[in-house]
Amino acid sequence: MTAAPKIRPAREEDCPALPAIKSDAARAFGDLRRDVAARPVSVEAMAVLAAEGTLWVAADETDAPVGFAAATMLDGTLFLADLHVRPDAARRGAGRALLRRVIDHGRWAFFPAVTLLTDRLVPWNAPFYATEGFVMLDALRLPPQLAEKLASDLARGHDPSRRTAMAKRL
Amino acid sequence: MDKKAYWVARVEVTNMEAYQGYVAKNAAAFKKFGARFIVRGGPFEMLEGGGAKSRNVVIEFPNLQAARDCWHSPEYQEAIAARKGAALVDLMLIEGYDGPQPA
Repeated sequence: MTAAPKIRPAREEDCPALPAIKSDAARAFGDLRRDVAARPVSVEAMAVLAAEGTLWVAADETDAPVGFAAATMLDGTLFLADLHVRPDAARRGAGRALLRRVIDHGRWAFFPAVTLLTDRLVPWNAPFYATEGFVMLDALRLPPQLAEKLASDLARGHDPSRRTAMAKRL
Repeated sequence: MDKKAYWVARVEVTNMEAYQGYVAKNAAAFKKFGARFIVRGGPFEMLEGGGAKSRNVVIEFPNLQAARDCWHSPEYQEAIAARKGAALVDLMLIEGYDGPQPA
């Protein structure tokens, strides 16, 4: 393991590798996610985001993706739907660099905020986002589409006392 | 090898919400024609002259024809439709130079 992964916009040919990155990254949660039916990453949906310019990868020395960030538009904000780094490439700044790329894009495209759903307690979840200026949102006062996403996460088995919406105003 | 060609754009956004729609749509055309951002916003200084706009962009294309075709493509025209009335745009298409340089 050498240099920090390089962040670049995703290409269509990167997309087939992304579901495995998400499931590898999910293993770092151990038993915490045992009862959660993870939302699968669809290669087709990723290819659409790549074409729309809201999908980025962290690539290793051979230019192969080891992490990715996928964003969509939700309630007029830029919603970070996925941010995952493979455990063997983690702890070298790839996640933070991907997140900053998403924030930069949000500013560039005049989004008022970046939003996301995450775990309150896992160190590389809410506490990590807080270091980049994200704040937790009141679950009872979420904009409609974000509230719907949160409800659907809870329906898939996420713990309601731990799942939280966060936002960073741009 | 073809000379590269560039779009040089200066943009003043007047309706951010509508402009977002354009940003979301333009990637498809840029991808199709092999475009690459050389300058994308970023801090700038006017050293001479006036009439600055706040968003300045330089996009590289593989050649003049690709740069022209991109603008005329249905994909880009759809993006333009999305930013109608949302921005004041100066967009220049210009061919690159690959001759001798100041020594």
